[in-house]
Amino acid sequence: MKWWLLIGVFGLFACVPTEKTDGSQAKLLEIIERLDRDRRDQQRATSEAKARDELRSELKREINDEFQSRFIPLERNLAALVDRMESIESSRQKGVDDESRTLAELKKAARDLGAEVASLTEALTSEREGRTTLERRLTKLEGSLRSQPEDIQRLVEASFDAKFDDKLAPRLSQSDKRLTALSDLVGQSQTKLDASVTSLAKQVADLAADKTDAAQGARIDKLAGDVAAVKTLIDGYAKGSSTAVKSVEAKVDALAGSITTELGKQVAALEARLAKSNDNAALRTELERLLATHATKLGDLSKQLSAATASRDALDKKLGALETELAEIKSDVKQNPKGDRAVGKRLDALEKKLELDNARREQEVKDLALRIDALGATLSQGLETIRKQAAARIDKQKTREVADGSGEQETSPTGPAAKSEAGSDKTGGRANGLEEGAFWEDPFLIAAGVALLLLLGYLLFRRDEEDEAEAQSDAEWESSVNELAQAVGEEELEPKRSVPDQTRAAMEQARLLAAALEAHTQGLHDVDQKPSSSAFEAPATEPQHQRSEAETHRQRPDTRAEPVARELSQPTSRSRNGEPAPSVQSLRVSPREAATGGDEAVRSLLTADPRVLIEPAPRVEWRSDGALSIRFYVHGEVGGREAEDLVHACRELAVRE
Amino acid sequence: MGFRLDAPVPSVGRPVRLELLGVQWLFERRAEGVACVAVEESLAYEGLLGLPEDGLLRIEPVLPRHALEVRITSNLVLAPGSRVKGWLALPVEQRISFVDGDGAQQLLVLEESRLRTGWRDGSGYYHPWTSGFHLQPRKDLGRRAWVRTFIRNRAADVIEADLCRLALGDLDVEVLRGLAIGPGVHWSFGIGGGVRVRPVPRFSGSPVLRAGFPRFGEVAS
Repeated sequence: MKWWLLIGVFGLFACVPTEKTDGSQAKLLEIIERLDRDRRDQQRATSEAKARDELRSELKREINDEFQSRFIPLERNLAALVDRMESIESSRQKGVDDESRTLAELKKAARDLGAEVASLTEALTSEREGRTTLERRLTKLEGSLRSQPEDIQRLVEASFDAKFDDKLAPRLSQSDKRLTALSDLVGQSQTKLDASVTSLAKQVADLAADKTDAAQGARIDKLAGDVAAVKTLIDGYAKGSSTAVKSVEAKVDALAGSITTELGKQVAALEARLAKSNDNAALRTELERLLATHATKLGDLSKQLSAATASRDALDKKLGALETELAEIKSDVKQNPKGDRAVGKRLDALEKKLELDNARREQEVKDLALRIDALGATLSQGLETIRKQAAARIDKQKTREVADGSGEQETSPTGPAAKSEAGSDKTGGRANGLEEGAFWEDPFLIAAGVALLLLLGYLLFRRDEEDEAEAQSDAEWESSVNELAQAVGEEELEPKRSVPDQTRAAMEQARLLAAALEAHTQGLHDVDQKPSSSAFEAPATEPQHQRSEAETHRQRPDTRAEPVARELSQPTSRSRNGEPAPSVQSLRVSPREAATGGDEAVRSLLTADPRVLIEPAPRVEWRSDGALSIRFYVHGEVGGREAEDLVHACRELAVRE
Repeated sequence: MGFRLDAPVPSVGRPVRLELLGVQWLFERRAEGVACVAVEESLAYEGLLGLPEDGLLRIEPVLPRHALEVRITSNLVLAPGSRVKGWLALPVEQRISFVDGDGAQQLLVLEESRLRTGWRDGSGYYHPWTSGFHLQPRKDLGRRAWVRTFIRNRAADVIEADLCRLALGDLDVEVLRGLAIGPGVHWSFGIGGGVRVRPVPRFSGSPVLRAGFPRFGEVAS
């Protein structure tokens, strides 16, 4: 532009008369020098600005890398924290959040448990007191039971001794005496008997020696009578002795029976006492079982209470940790805004991302508006064409009237327009037509009405047409598959068909406009997408120029199936349809370890591995300090170990052997 | 329910051989387990499976689960009011499942080696893919699912159809004369345009289609 101005000025001065050439020449040279100086200044400023841009871009990339490598976890934590805080906030506001409900239920359960525990504790205390009393009584009873057998034994022994001393001993002594007397008597009798028997035996021997007279026979008979008397005496003694013995034995048996009876009574009493003590043991067992049951129940209640308390404590702790983390982040940001530059950058990035999202939404709204405008423009264009045709017809009619020399008024439908004083003014002509004729006589209105009806019909029956067309397509599909069943073709559509030049030019124009539109869309967000401009162009005017091109293009219908080229943003924790978001893997190889050509090897590995996502694309870059920076994304379902193996493989390729 | 091949679990000395879309599968029970080998043009898969004695092995062709972003390599230019029709060759995977009384459980998926994955915020994962616009399906392109595609231009201007996003992951694939046939795609431009997908009808092993074709939204039984 300036050169054209220079040439113009030169030409102007070239046309000046020669008398003024000297002064003008000096002025011209001065202007040229000033322009040259300005141009050099601008070139220098532009080169400096370019260097500053490159430096800023490098700095931005380094900051971005640093941020990606160090603060991704912070981002996740921050996102989780924000989500958590939002959920907590919403739950607080609505009061229907599950956690609040759970907490309220837990508190209610804790209160119920506390009341139940208190009642149980009270019952247990009373039971313990009862148990203590019972135990005391049991102990006493046990002591008495333990002492009772000894007492009984002592009592039995004492009773036996007393009864023996009182009754049995005199009777036994009497019996003994009798027995002794009897024995003595028996002894005496035996002695007498022996003596008698001896004398008798002597006499019998004497008699046996004499055996001569009858007197001896009488004497023998008398002796036999004496012997019989002795025998009777002996029998009497024996009988008396036997009776006495039997009497003593009966008395001893009676005493033994009385002692046995007494002992049986004592044993029965003892057994009764023992049975009573057994009842007490059963009672004690039942009491212990009851106590154990209550203890178990109390333990369960204590566990539930402790679990509820732990859950509440965990919730409080979690909330406290979140609040602490948020407070730390806030304090870090507040206290150290310059030192922790990355945190500030992160916040800025988040803010910027939010702004970008808003801008994108606004852009979508604008796109929609542009589409509507495009539709309106198409309709307006059609109406304009019809209007032009009507005007042309009016002009033609007017020309014919002039050529025929007819000044009479026409009764044709174009008459009102022909009568218009401002025939060249279509709007005025239409206005006059409306004033002077019926509206159905105006061809423009008729054409516009027909167009409107066609448009309405198209909008109303478009879906039916689509369905009909798709049904037709389905039938064609059916027939084609049937044909396929007959024979499988080998023919393919010609990969590159010849396209008419006019169509190709239109397509090329559409491509250019689409590129300009994308540049405009992305230029709002990504400075790297700006097209390179010459040194003399002012960057400030560039977006407006692109916007005008974009708007021009937006009036055309979108010829792409879906807008695929979009700005790449950082993956969030989870995509819209619930799939796990990709995980970023980053690696930095230090300058002394990085091998020459390692970047190419790593790049080829990442390109070949299907686990590595192609978008966001892997980045393998040499840093300014000679380090190799590697960053790529893998599918969210790829396991941590698998990702680590991949990173390890990259490192093996990148480091010097 | 799309096409599938069922075979009993191999026993000792009785290996199982199956072939689907040019991929030969061999399952052989050994002492250490069931050896599984898949051969396409070369070794495509080799592994060891642990399978009980009773049950079935199932092989079925499936489409990739993420959306396919198909870039059409053929030049397709449509004037307003016109339409074209043809076939797209899409990747098809093979899923091996074990079937018993409790149902089918996936064991492995033989993926397409050329398939890559990308991710965009808002739209999630996708697979980029390129395909020509074919007049007829072809067997010489290997393991592909052929998708009948109708492209219609309802816009007021000339359009070039070059990129289409197809989410077909949960739709069935049928096999006809050794070719995998996927769902039908209606792709239109202009007001209310977009991509509409119709499920493939069941062939029931017959090369002739059913007379009734399911409407949009219906599922072929």
